[in-house]
Amino acid sequence: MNDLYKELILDHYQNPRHYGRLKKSTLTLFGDNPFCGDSIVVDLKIKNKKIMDAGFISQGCIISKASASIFLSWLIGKDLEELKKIDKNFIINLLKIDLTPTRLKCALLVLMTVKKVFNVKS
Amino acid sequence: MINVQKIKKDFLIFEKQKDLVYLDSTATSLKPKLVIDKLTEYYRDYSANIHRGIYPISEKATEEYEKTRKVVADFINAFSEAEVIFTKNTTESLNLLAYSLGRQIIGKGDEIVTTIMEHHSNFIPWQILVEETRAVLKIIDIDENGFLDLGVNLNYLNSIISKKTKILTITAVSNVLGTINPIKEITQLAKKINPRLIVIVDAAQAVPHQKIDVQDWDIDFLAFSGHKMLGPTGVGVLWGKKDHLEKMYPFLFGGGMIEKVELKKTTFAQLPAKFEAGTPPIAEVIGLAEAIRYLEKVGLEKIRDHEKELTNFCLKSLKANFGSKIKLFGPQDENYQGGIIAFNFFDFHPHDVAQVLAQDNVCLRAGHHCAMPLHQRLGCLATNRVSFYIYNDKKDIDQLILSLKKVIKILS
Repeated sequence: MNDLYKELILDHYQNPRHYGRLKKSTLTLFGDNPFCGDSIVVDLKIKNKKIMDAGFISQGCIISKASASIFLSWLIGKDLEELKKIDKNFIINLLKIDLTPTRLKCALLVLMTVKKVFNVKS
Repeated sequence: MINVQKIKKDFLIFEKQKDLVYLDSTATSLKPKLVIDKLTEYYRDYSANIHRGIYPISEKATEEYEKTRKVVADFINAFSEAEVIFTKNTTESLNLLAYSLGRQIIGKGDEIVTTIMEHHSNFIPWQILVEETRAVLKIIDIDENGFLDLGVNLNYLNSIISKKTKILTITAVSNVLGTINPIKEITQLAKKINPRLIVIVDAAQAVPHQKIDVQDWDIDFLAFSGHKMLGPTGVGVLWGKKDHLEKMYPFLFGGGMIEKVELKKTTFAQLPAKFEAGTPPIAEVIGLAEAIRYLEKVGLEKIRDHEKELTNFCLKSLKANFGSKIKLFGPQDENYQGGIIAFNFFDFHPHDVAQVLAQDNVCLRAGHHCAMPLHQRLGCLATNRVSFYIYNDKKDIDQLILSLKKVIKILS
């Protein structure tokens, strides 16, 4: 639990990448963690089953925002098929921090939200 | 005056963690060695079941278990020991009431009154009951200072309570705002309006911190937990007036709560056995007696005074160091609140504040504290919460301030 707020996390929190709504997007996904009040809106631009661009706005804790910034940076350019394989361990490794069960929920908010793309038909 | 240094020696956790600043007794309290030893003694020396065996260790177990019942009855000034029921915790006590009392007396159109500041355990059971029975749930609001919005001399009660109101269920002390509700005065006026009203009090945050007298309050039921008052987890208490308990249907069915079981029907035992089905948490109940003895030795009035002093000091320190950047909830006056302070710190998310503080072993809580309706009412999704008990002192608050300053440094 030491140094959860490493430079990587704080950097992505203070200067989140891909922050803001996309001007043109294929779809918009919503996610929230009512337990603690983190919420997120993710715009995705998808072409030929590939994620061409992503943007997000969020309200909540540092971990949830930093996680969104780091994950979406990775996600852009990947196929939907690759997204299917992503699980919580991937996020943990991406963030490079030890997360307690409570904070894990914060970190996984963006993944849980983005994976809703598979609930959308076509 | 409480000698905190002396008291901390009774809590072995401080031996291994000298820097522990535990400010979350609202969630659960630390445990003195005496309680742990008493619990272990049962397991080690006489771990027999109660009420069943005729041999010596069973008799000893039964004796110690029933002794606790008397200790609890005296502690809250119950009319008799038979009115004290051991449950798992406050939540179970309140669910027992919703189930055994609520489903018996609540029908369509009946009214149950509660408040917006309740813990989920004293809110959801009634919400569900009202849904099932098509009764009505009235919710008393709070004012901008975190007090129940009951007007001058509680006169709003005149329009809230009526002959249709079957149950008034209310917390003695809010686990978020710290607000101490004037239970005696509210009960007096409410019962004047409706003499048949049943008053239930969630005393989880009150019993550990102040002297409670159920006869003086003239309430009908009281619920509290052992683990918040230096006792073990897994034991709680439901106290109720004998007349009510005798009329109520049992909650759990099984061994120990029967008189006679035949193929086609069963008759139930007298109080308190009727509500204690199965093997109870024997060790935990016995440990609870020791916790109560410990608290009585320190003195409940001294405990209240101690917490008032710490609350006053903490409120002053937070305001002096952070000014308008710290948003404090609740009465902000130690005379009207228990040793509980909820706040938002700058615009940091409570989780992040708690995380940084955790690095200094400063233990406080972040979230909605099982009071989502209250937080919706306050207009925020989550808060941080500190709370005080007999093992806290001003140094703990000084450390809290230092660590909060670190939050600004690390997260800005």
